[in-house]
Amino acid sequence: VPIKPSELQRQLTHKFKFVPAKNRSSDHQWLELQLPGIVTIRTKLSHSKAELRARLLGIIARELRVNSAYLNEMVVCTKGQDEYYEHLKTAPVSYGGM
Amino acid sequence: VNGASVRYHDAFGLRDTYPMSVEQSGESSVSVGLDAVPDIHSAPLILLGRLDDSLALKGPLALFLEEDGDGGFIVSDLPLGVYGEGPNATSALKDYKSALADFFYLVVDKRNASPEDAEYFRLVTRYLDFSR
Repeated sequence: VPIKPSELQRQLTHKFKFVPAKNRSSDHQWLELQLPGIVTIRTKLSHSKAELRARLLGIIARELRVNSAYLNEMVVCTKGQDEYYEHLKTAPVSYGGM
Repeated sequence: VNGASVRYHDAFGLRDTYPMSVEQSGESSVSVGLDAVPDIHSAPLILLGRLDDSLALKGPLALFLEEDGDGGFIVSDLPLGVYGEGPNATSALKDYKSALADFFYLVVDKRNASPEDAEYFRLVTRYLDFSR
């Protein structure tokens, strides 16, 4: 399913309750999700206005600690907030491959 | 290192001389930061040295440059999951470096938010930290 950055932002903020991060530069927009017991999830919004290509979608999915298929489902609404939050409790955190 | 350029070899055997920033950081050490790369389809890159006036990498950070399939380029790293994008490889790299600095400051700002964020901060600082 083609996903535009604006749609992804809309879903993350409205459905999954991500909030804009207070980053120091104005070059990028970041969204964060802080939940008890897990590392803060953060993702950088793409500058692009076009649909997200598979590679970039994969990178963003990793930031959100899901895979691309799961991210697609988050956007098309077959994965909801409760399911995503539950997923985060067990999803592995990338600690730099350490 | 030869003047202001470095001969670069990548894993695919590509060899060329690209403009680099070279910064003398002590009598016996030199840090090198990528400033520009050609628009090749995909290539591993190594980023070293300072990100800006206050941040520096603690060691080499492996990056990957690739086309995004829409005429643009993406630079990303595996360890931290940060990416940059742009219409050409050089702008994607610049965007990546800026995003990495943003990412670090966000991690710093949240380091006391939870024990998990404190641990994450500690791990991120194995890759980059405030420079002196």
